[in-house]
Amino acid sequence: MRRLHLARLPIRIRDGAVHPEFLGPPDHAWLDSLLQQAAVHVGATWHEFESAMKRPLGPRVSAQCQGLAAAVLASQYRRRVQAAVPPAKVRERVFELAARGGQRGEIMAAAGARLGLDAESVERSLFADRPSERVVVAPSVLPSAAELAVKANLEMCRSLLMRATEVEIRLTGNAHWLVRRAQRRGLLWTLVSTAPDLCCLSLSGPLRLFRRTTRYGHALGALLPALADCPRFDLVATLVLGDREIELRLRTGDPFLPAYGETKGGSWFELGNRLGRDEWIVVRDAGPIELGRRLLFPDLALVSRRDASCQWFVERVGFWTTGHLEGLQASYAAAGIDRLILCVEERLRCGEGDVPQGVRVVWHRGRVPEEEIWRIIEG
Amino acid sequence: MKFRFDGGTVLLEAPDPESVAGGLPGVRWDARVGAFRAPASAWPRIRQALGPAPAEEMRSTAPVLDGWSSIELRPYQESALMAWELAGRRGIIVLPTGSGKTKVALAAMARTGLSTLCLVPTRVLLDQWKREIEAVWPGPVGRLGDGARDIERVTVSTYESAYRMMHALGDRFDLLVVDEVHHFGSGVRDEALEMSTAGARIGLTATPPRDAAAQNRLCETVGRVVYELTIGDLAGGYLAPFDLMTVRIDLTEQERAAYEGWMRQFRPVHSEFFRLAPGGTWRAFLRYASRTSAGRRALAAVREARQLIAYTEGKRAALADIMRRHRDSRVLVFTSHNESAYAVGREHLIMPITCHVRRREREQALERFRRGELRALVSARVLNEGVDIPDADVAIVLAGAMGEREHVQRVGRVLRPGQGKRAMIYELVAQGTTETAKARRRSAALASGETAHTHS
Repeated sequence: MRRLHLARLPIRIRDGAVHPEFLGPPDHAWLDSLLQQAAVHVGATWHEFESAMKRPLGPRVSAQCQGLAAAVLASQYRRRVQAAVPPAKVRERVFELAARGGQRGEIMAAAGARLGLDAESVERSLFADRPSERVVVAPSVLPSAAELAVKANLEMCRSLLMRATEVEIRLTGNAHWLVRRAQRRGLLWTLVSTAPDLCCLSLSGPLRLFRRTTRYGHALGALLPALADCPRFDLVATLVLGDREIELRLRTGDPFLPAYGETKGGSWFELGNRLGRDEWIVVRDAGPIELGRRLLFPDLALVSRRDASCQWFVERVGFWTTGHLEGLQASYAAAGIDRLILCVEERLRCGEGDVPQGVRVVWHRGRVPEEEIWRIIEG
Repeated sequence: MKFRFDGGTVLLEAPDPESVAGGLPGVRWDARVGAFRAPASAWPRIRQALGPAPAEEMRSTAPVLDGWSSIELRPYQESALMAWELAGRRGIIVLPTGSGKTKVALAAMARTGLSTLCLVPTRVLLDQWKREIEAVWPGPVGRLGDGARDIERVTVSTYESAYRMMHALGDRFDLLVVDEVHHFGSGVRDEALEMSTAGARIGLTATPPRDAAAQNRLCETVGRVVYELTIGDLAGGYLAPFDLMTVRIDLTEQERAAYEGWMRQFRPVHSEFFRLAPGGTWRAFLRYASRTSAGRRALAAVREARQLIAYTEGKRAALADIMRRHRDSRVLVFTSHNESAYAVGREHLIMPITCHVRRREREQALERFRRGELRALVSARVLNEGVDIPDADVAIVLAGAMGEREHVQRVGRVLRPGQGKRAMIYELVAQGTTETAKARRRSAALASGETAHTHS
């Protein structure tokens, strides 16, 4: 993503320090609304999609927070030209005929006749390649509200770091992993050990450089997710905002980091990516599904693009017994869900019994074979 | 004393900080490397100060390039070139759009025979300049930018590529030609000019900057204005005579209500700023406003207001009427935003030329306009400057976003002379809005020595 404009970030500047206003659980409700807004605009023009993303979601949602989340969400979507004939060809015909004179309707009809289209299609195709007129295409995997909040927070931190002159990260344990990442990204760094199991990684910020500052800033920002794998960290960056030097502090627990495993491409996270297909939408962290006072949390939902009512739920099961699998199956059935697939780790069997009848199971040892999931869905 | 070009500067290796080199123009002691250093642009003055034979040249003096075809100049072009020569081959030539600035620069290159780097603002101009040079110079012409990196004794480069590469090639050229030089002087990319050792420099523009800071900066990096002619000086002779008609248009009731609504959000912040900083610039206001949420709302509001008046109901109707009246003319329509350019394109079936139109399609459209297969083009900014637009008789200015300079450039687009040609320029102004004052300033910018007739 490009660096976000400072005025559009939900931050407060106080006592020489910048305080990001992170999105968190209280924001999930409006983030859900935003996700829905985005989803209903799949197939609309990019202009309509952007307008929908800007529509205020309520008095308690700040414009900056919404703008940030909308920008991050929009970056997940793609756009494509939807026209029966290349728009440049349509323009060539239409404007050439227009130069000869005549009524607009006649010109469009004549152009359509030459191109083998009706007048309405000519009208639609005329500027269909314009970025704002392109059609919105949904990503293969949609983030949940919680994921979107984390992504937005991360993007905000990245954007701030792109304005840094220096960054210092105090790390407890597991510094090796982070340093390797900094090294691979070609960042300018020094590492000092200050005490046993405690070290300080100093990095030059992009505004220390004279050239390639944007590229360096992106590389520095890309280091942030790797902090998720450090048990404790304390990051202090000196930023230049306008004509002032301001401090940014990020610590362990700040909600800008993806869950452990996502940064390393954890196998379960990857499964969502591997399951992506044109005709299906993968929804991560689908749910919760209410069953009386009980809540069910399927890991993934696969929703057919042709028929939204056709949904499959996928839940991973670690340690298992026959009774546990029976219970799960019964709970989903009670919630009206019969399209359930359980991905069961073979090695974590904890009882004597077998898999109960009627339960759809995909066995795995580590990596979940996505082709088995598709075999069940399509079979 | 030894000299070396070092990343856009000149390094003078001298024995100690007290050495005589310290007194040379632009030279400072650089303790990091234990040598004297100066911006590369100071090199000609350093050489001059050192006398006829500096101890060791940075590189051998380039031989003079010959083989240029003879270039016929009009009398005013000849005068401009002479003024530049007399100013020590440094300075800015101000000539209106369509009066042949490029030809003056080509003549300067041919007469001096110096190795030359031409700096141009856009990729379109990169190709255009290359073609122009190739028509009068038999040698290879280098191209820097738009994916190409061929350096020759005569090279054309985009500003952006020159800015990136000047640290490596700043000592290779003796003449700098800066097209549309008004883009420099505000601090952006000025280093590209400082990092070159070229002693001869020629800047070309139709609209020199009027603020003192930019003028001073350009004076340092390129030279002062050595020759200036306005549209008024050439209209009716080397440029076509023209009529300028300002059409004042009322907003509809709904438009007026919406406009006033936006402006009510904007005016208090704007007034407050000018109360605190009388005489402040718009740029300073933008900085001030972007710091507070009320300020940001005000900026968003004024953007909406401008968008609203850019293409109103009244302007729609007036445009349709003008297009009908000039059914047999070739028309250029100018808007302030791409949005309105596309709206005009869709409603009146006019080919839009915007940044979203690919180069090939744009070139084809210009060619078809030249051949008369298209009768009109509409654009927000792309046609403002630089692009070689075929002959047109009528310009319709629906709105502008860039002020007087843009207006002068746009008017220049229809002034290419022709047999019995009289150009017509319509300026549509939304009455009782910020456009009224803008239109006054635009007229004032055109007014100096103007020979055209203006109507309201």
